[in-house]
Amino acid sequence: MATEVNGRNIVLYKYNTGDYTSTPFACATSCVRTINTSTREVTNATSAFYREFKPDVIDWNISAGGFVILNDEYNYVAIEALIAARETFIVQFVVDNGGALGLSIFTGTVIITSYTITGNDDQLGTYSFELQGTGAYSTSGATVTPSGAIIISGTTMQVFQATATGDETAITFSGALGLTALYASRGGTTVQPIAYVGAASEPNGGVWNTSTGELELPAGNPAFAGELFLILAQ
Amino acid sequence: MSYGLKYTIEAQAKNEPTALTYTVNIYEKDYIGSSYPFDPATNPMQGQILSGSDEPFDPIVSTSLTLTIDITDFDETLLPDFTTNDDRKYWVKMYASGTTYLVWQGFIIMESVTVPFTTGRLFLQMICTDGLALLKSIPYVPTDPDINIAEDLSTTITNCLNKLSLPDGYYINYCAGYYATGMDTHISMFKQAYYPVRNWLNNDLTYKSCYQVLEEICTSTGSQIFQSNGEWWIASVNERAEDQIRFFRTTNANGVESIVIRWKQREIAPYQNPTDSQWYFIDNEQTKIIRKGYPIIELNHDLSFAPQCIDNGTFSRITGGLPDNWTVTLGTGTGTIEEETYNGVTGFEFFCGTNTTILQPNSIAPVRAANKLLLSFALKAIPITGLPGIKLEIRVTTSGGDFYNYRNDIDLDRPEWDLNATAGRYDVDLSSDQLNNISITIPSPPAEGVLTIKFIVLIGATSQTAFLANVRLTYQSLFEKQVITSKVNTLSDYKKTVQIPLGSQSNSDETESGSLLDNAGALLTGWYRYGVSEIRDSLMRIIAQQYSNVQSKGVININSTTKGLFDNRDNIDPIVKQVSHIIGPIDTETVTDSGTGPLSVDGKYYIFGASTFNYIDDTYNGIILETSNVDVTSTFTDTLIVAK
Repeated sequence: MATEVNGRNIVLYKYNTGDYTSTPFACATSCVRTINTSTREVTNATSAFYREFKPDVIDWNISAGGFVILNDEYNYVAIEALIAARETFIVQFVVDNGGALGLSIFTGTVIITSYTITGNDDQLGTYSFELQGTGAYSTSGATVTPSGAIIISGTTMQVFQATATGDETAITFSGALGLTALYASRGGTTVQPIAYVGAASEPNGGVWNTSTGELELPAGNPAFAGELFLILAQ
Repeated sequence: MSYGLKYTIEAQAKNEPTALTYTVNIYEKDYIGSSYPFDPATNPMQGQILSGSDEPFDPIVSTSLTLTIDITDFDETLLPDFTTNDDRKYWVKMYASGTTYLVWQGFIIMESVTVPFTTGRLFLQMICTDGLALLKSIPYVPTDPDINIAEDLSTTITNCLNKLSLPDGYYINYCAGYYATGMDTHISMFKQAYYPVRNWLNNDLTYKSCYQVLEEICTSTGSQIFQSNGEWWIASVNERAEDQIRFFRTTNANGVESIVIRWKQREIAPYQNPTDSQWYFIDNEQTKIIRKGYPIIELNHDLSFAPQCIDNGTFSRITGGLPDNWTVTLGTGTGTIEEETYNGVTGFEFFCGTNTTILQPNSIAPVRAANKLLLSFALKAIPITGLPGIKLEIRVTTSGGDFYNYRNDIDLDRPEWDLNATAGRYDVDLSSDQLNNISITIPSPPAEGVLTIKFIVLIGATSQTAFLANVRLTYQSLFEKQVITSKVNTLSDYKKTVQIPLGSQSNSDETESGSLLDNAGALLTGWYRYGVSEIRDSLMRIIAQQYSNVQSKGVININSTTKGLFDNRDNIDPIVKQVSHIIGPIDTETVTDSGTGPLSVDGKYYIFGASTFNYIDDTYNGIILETSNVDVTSTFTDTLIVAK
């Protein structure tokens, strides 16, 4: 079952083509990857007062930063040497999805376009840099095919909530009779996955019954007293 | 002369669904060795259609190719020699998809090249020309030096384009379906219309430039000359306003033509999706430009004659000590002739010997009864009592055998034409032995026939020697101008005036400079458009209708950026052929317009005007010009203006 990825588990590496190893940037505390798709406007006389566009060239970039440290990771001195050599190099933007899902790896060739080191009195020194991607990127590793629900046009999405009294294994939302619950949360945590047949998955799943307007909870995780349940149904 | 491949540039375009790779090959004259790739910069290959106005009847449409490369990491010792004076040192050929589609060919211009002299990434721009502008400085050279020989227009056109010296030769396509009575419609008009080369002479007797020759031919046939897909085209402005064009294809060898019917019109429509949309407006800049039409269109032809109607009259061609294409009859005994120069003027000095020595040009343009003759020459001779400096026999011999001599050698009030006067001569008397410029205006001969002129020195009290040079003959018509006017309405006097060099009816005078002839030298008449039954007196009248069709009414041109430079429609029909190609100046466009008012462009046809083709961006930016092949109802007048 998928879980949210903590930012700590998103790491930028420099890929070394000589020995096929990947070296993280030293003491990095942040990394940001951005992909932009430029557009060409194709608005014409039949566009009926709306602009129309088609996709054009894609560009992407990565920014990262961290604490200044001279360790055996890709440290600030090595970064500065890269800049002086005016080299392009390969980076891997790696997301650890956790558990069985493993890693999702974004790989591409970049050029360092800016680099900053900051030293403030009595604070840890920091560095930051911008990488401009050149050429196409590739992705590898874990993928999950997205799936979704059919949203029926013409009907209103409604919010329903209920507070548990304790130990319930199903929460009824009488106003949602005949509707389809598209989202549910319990105590602020998303009920995931929501199924429409079978048994609720442990520990945070649920099964919605359209005909009864009832959200069935996992047997091992019934509601506790005062727990707030909220659904979006249509 | 041979060329070796020295540089290449390759870049992939953004066309959909399958990106094309464009390759530019640059060949250096006499080069043998490896080829070197240039790194393409942004927008590395841009073609331009060079036009200074939105005039659809611009006869010469030059194209160029701008190449932008990154030379930062290129060995500068291997760069092209931009200091060379040889305009043809670097020959450029541009292809798409390997060598599948020839896009363009020409030469790098060395006139203005800017090379960065600094650090950082270094970009260089090379501009390549199709060569038409080079023809401005190249005089025309006819196939036969005899100026009175008539060449068919396709030979003239090929002679001009061959001056470009394209190493691989070229294909040329003729798309102007105008024919005279008696012509074979399975052969292009250009191969059947003849024009004496004397009419390409300037007043100083040098030949007009090849550029001017092409310009006059295209103007007179309502056509444009341009390069499209590496091939030359002479294409009617009007005939491209069709879904199909019919043209004749041959090579620079000007051999047998093949007839091709090609479907080439493409439609610019609103963008739908990458699969279904091939040509569409982009960047939302498209505008309609409305131009008021000309209710009155006037085509003028100045009736004139070539400045020289005697071949080799200036003795510029000499073989074996005698002037080419002249008959020399030496006097018996010691008659002589030899090349001589006086006061910087080179000619021939001839001595009569014991009777007469005669010089006679073999090639003189025919003269009509209505035309005056203007004869001039340089003459030097020692005045001898009772003897003219030289005698002229100026004779017109009719088809019936009678002849008229123009004479002043008997007691007359003034010189006159004398019937069958065998001894009739025109005496040129001299008062000094200096070099004289002689000019004789000869009135119209009484009848038509073959004109001959003899220059005669004869014996008198002593033998005569005369020096003759710079013989020039031209004619003068009773009329000065032919004017064909088209008037569609009387709402205004707004008029467009066009000068037409060739194709006038010219008062039925085969020698007049506007006359097109058949291969027997007869005037071509009874002109018509292929597929249209109406017959007109002259080609000029047909062209007047074509101008009227396009410009008598308001036109709506379109300025835009359009996506899509590749037409991948292949038509397997054995007659109507369409092969995939890169869009070029020959292509015609229509535009989808859902509007129905007077500003709708639905159903209109457009040809390219001034524009830029960005091959890698797969876009075209510029103006497209409305054209039409539908006859507009107009009132025509055809008038000969008498000379003042």
